[in-house]
Amino acid sequence: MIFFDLVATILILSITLIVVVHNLSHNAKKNTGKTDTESDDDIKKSTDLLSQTRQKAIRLIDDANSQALDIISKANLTTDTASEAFKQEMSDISSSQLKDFKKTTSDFTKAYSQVLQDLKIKNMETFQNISKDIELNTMEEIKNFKNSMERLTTVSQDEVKKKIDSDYEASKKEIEDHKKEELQKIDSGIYELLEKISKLILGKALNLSEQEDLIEKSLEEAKKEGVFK
Amino acid sequence: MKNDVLVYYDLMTSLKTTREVENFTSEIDNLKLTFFDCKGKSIKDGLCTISSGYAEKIAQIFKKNNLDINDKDAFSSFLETLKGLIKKFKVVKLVLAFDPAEKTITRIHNFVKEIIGIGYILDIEVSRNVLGGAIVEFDGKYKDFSLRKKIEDTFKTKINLGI
Repeated sequence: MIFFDLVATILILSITLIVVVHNLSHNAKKNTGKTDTESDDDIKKSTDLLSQTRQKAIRLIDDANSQALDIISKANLTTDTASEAFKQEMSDISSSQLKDFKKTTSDFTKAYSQVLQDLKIKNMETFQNISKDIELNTMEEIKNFKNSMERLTTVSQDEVKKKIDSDYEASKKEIEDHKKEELQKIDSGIYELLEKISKLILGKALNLSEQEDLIEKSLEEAKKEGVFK
Repeated sequence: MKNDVLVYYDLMTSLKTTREVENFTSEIDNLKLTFFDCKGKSIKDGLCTISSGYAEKIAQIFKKNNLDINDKDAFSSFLETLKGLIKKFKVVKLVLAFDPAEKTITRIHNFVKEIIGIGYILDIEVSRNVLGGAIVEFDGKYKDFSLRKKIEDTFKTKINLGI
């Protein structure tokens, strides 16, 4: 900022000097048409004035330069001082920022670690819960499957038992029927045989009187057994 | 006409089988038809249209009881009473091994009369398988006293005893 102020001052002084020189040159040209005498006096005056002015201007420029250099040196000093302070400040800020950053990083790291830890714990819990759920579900499924198998086995056993019982009863009945049929055949055969033998033997042996006696005996038995009551 | 059962006794006791009763009933029906349809005929003429045996028995009944056989009303009453009594006969059914002759039927009928009384007639059926004796049926009761049955019972007993 100081540097820009000095530059502006030098520029203004330069412009002022140029304007002064220009005016003097203009006046000199105007006085060119006067008498030689007057001209010589005027020229001399002008030359003196110009010389004076030039010297004044040089002094002014020197002063200005001196002031500018002074200002510049001051500005440089200030700048150096500011730069040092800035550097220091920057250093301090950097340190502070670095510290803060480190702290923040540390906090963040801690927080992140904590979150990770929590997440890990939570995940583990979730996983454990899931494992437990899976275990429970699996156990339940196994139990259901076992029950279903037991039911199916029981039903199958009952059906097989019923079938066996049914077949057994059918076979038993079939055997009984066959046995009965065979016995009837045997009985029938034996009775037929007996009948033939009786006809052969008794037919010849029983005469009419004996037949009549048998009939009377039958009637007597019928009376005894209450047939005629 | 007397309603005394004794009047009919000889005739009733002479009927021994269902076959005889059926025949006699049929004869009576014929006699009644002949007797009442042909008014010009006498009862004696009518009796000639039925079997001589029954005609003779009826004539004897009238004679024995001093009844006028030409009394149409008495004769008609006689026939009606006779039919009513015949319906009261009780039937003893016998299944026999042979077809009995008249003599055997008489013997069996007499035996029945002896053991259970009068008023019974025999319904005889023949089955050779009976072998001997009789199967007796009376008033819905059935008893097998045949020789065949006795042989079967004996045989079953032997089988059960394992002999």
